[in-house]
Amino acid sequence: MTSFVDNRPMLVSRPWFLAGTRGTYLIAIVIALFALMPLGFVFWATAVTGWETASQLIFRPRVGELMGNTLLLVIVTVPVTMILATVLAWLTERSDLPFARFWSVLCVAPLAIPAFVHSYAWIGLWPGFHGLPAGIAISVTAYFPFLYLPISAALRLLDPALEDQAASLGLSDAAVFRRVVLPQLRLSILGGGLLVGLHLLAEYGLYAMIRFDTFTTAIVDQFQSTYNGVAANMLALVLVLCCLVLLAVDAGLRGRRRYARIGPGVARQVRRTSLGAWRYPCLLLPIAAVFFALGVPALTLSRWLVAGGAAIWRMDEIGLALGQTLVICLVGGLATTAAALPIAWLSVRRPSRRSRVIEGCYYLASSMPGVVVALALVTITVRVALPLYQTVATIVIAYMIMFLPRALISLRASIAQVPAELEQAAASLGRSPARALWATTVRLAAPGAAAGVALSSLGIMNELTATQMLAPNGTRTLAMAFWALTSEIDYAGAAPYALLMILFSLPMTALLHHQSKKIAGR
Amino acid sequence: MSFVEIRALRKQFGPVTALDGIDLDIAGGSRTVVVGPSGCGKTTLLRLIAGFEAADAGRIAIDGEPVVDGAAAVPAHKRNIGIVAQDGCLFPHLSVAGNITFGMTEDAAIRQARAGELMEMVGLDRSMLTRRPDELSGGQQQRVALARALARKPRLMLLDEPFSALDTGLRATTRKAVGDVLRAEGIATLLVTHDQAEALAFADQVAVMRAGRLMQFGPPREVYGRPVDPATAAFLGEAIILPATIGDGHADCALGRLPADVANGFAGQATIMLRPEQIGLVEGEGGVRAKVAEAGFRGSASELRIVLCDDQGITLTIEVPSSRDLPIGEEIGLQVSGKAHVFA
Amino acid sequence: MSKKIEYFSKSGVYPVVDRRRVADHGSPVSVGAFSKSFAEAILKTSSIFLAGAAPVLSVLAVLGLSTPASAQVADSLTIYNAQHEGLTKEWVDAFTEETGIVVTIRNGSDMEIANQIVQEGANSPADLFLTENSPAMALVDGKGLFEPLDKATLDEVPEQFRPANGHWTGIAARSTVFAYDKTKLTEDKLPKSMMDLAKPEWKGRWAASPSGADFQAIVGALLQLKGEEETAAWLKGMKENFTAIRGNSTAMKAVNAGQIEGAVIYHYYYFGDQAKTGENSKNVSLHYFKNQDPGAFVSISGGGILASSKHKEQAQAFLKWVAGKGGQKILRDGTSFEYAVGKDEASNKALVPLADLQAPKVEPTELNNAKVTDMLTAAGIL
Repeated sequence: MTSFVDNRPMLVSRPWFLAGTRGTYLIAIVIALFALMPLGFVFWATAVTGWETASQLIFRPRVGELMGNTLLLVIVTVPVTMILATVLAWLTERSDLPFARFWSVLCVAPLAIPAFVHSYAWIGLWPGFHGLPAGIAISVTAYFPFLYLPISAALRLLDPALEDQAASLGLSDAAVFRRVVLPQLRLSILGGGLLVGLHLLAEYGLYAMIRFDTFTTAIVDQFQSTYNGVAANMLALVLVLCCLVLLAVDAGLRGRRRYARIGPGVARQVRRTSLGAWRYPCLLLPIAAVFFALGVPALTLSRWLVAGGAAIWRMDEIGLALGQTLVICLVGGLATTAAALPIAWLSVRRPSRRSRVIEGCYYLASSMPGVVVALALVTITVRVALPLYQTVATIVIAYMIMFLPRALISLRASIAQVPAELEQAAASLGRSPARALWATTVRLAAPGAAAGVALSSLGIMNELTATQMLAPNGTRTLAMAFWALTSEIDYAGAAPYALLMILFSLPMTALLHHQSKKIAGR
Repeated sequence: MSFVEIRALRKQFGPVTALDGIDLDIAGGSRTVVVGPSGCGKTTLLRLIAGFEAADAGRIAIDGEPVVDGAAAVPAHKRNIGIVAQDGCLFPHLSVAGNITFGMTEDAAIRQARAGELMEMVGLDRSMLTRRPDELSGGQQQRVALARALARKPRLMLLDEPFSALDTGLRATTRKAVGDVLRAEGIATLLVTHDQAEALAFADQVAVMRAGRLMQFGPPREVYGRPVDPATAAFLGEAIILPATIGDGHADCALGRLPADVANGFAGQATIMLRPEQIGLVEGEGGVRAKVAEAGFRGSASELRIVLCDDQGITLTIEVPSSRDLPIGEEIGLQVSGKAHVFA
Repeated sequence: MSKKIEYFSKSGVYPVVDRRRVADHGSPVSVGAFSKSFAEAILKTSSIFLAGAAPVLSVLAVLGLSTPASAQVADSLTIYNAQHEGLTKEWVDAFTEETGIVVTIRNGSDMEIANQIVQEGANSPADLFLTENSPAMALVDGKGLFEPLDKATLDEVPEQFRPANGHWTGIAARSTVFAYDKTKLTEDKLPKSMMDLAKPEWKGRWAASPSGADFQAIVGALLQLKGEEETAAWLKGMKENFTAIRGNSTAMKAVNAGQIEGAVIYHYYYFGDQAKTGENSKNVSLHYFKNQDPGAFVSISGGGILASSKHKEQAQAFLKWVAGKGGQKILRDGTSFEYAVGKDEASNKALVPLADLQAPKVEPTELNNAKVTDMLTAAGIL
């Protein structure tokens, strides 16, 4: 009899299943539309401005100058970073470099240091360093871990049997690297390169501090003298176009194909190439990279902390900033992860063209620089959504737009690890659908969700541009306080804030490192 | 002088001895199979020959040219030895054509033409040249891997369990096809496998390995029929091992007095081996009497476990045509054909 | 060999199912059994999303509403602050201690906030606007967004430091200076007038921060004093000669580090640094142009109350306090080193007295920043 009673709701609720699918899609699509708002805003603003004014503001010498700066920065920095990261990854993963594991951890650690703190550190040691050379040098230092992480993970994942095979076909070690290893690292290198390129376009603090003008610094300058003026919007248009070009170049280079791993087997433990007489000379590269990426910030910070003494630890202000930062990180991280949940679920459990398109929207949206996202949200909220103007909600939406893919990647990986059969098994053991889901997938995917929260929080903690433009009245995050103090060249006073940002970023960076190793199956 | 000469080859991985002094000779153009349970060191042997690992001690010479001499070794890419691995090991980032021409140094036009020839040689359609490895079935991948290895006209071909991942039916046909191509090309081949049936079917010479040592080396029939010890006997197929008293070229055992392959006029206690196919049923009251203890139907044959009436401690497992329906408890007569093998 | 080919061709068409390939493409789940449970899963997902998102959204809603709501709390003020954060904080802390009125500060730069206030219009959450220079005040006043100030407040400040219409008042002042590297330049080699900096002999020798409101105010004064033609000519020479450095402190730092011989900035950056470690100004000396030179321009920092404010009483109290004894005392004794502008209020002893600066007469309400940015843009400086 009980079975009869149990069956009835199953039959009745069948239409609800479909509504559930649609509902999830609907939520995912609404979030996607939100995410695309900044992109839409830029084109709308251009249309409203009219071509004549727009072209006057776009085609002028100053924009040409900025374009030259930005292009040079990207064209030089991205390849240099790619080469540096690839060589470092190869040395630490595939050669008998002394203390390889130690160097591999140190090559990831700079991720805990916000980009603008790198500038702060460099000009602390070399006050006159500025312009394009400084921009390139500091960018390479600040961003090579973004490439090192995926490349070293990919190297660990490569099947060494392929390299043996190539050797048996008559290829020397160098030829094997060029013809077998590099092509398989291509996607990681391109993906990381794209990420670095987008960061170069979006970064403000790093360049503002070393007197190097890019589109982003120019937009912030314009914002500071005209708020959301037309000139700022037109610069934003050019910046957005640069991002789109970068995305297109990446898509073109990447091609349509992803390389499936064909073999079934467990990869053989990799053999490390013997560097021979070069073993110790090769140490110079990781030593140099780590010196600039970690040593320089450590030197500058400790110098200022010592010089500042106890006086710079104004605990009331620091405590307030820390508290606000942690709250905003937590709320932003939770909201971002919650927003990523529907699409993460759809893309794993029902991968389709539609879910891929929605996913693509999120990635496109997150490649918009923070300054553009903020510009769009300021204008939209002040003009049409006044109740949201200058609220935490608005800044959280900005974070969602910027960091959703971080949460998505973690969530998707962990949901994918939970076989759908588990839910069916739980259901067959008499759990209701919701309880079956709760008992299996939700519980098992929870670590992934936590990682998603942590990774988006890491982004939020070190975000400066959008935070400054959107922060509610009275808000002062660690990054904002740091920036305000350095602008007044109170470098000693800024040091505690930098230190706190780094300290709180470290666990999340460790998580990132751990995750990349886990993905690589080690 | 043999084509490949391996002498006193040793290899340690930490505390584990993978190869404990291997001597092996491979004749030119022949097919040699190294067989043994997993972990016996056979794959290590193959990787040392290929040059993927360095030996601790010993020598390997190919065609009179030493490639390994103690710690000194010719690097893998200069040995000109082809290898087909267990999963084909195709380069995922290259098309089939790209894979096949990978090691070729000729002009592009020549390479393309040769790729087509090789495809036909291994029985694949030329139109597949543009495909990606992940668009091929497992058997097709193995054929492409063979074509790729053949493209450089290697002097020796190493096959590392290349058929083990294939389905049963496909395995036999692919194996035969690969063997035929290599024989036609006159390339000496070394196959490594844990599958004794495959070893016996493929080999001109079988080398049985166990725990890093070469236990026995010889033609398949010889190795199967006259294994060196009971463990080797059992590894190569079902074996009936019995204690016996040897004398006068015969073995006296629970199955009666059987002709035996006694060497040097040996007499005394020894262990003998019979293969199940040597045991047949006799009609009527004759033969060694036994009772059916268990019967398993296998389609064309039935597997019987039988207990000797005179010595209930001895049970044998034999196969009989399933057309004979033998219920449990039925008494039958056994007859042995051929010689018993005496372990020295 | 052709025989072998035939053999291979036969086995080549053998139908193949490779388990490994299935595994490559996802978990091997039977589709029939899957679809129903999948539908359930989606239903569950959406409910979980809603369940998970609901608290987040409600937190957002609470935070979202609470923030602007703080402006409606009776004894609380919101200041849009373009003055130096440190100075405003000193004022606010002392004011709150004295009156118990809680103050929320939003920091920004002069023109950013001025334009922001214009955009927000009647809905601005701000009660007060404090600037570094006058042009931003002029912009907001031009849109009619300021509330006239109480006479008591205006009476705290002499007429030359506030506009005649009484819509806002000066709260502090700063003097233009030429900060120079004393290891490279001696007094006889200094420019007699700021106008000299456009001459060829100064090519590549001086710096300024043209994107900042400070320098734009200086150019505004120049425009008012010398007219458009002469200003444009000067800017043309400037474009040839100067190096752009973002931020006045940074410009002074560059002078100190020997990267450039001099910079046109305001005076207090030097005194502020000297009062701390002096490490960014130990090689720097200040040159005051005096003689009513455009380079002797004294810029007035302004404070005004927004017409849209719901706390006008408290706002008036704050501004009177800042312009009066309390606020001016902080200018004298604090670390800002800006000039006090209150009647009979002395400035910090370290400073050259305001009266000795021989500043030119400039009408603050007529400083036209839009015209200045246009001219800077036309000269290729912005």
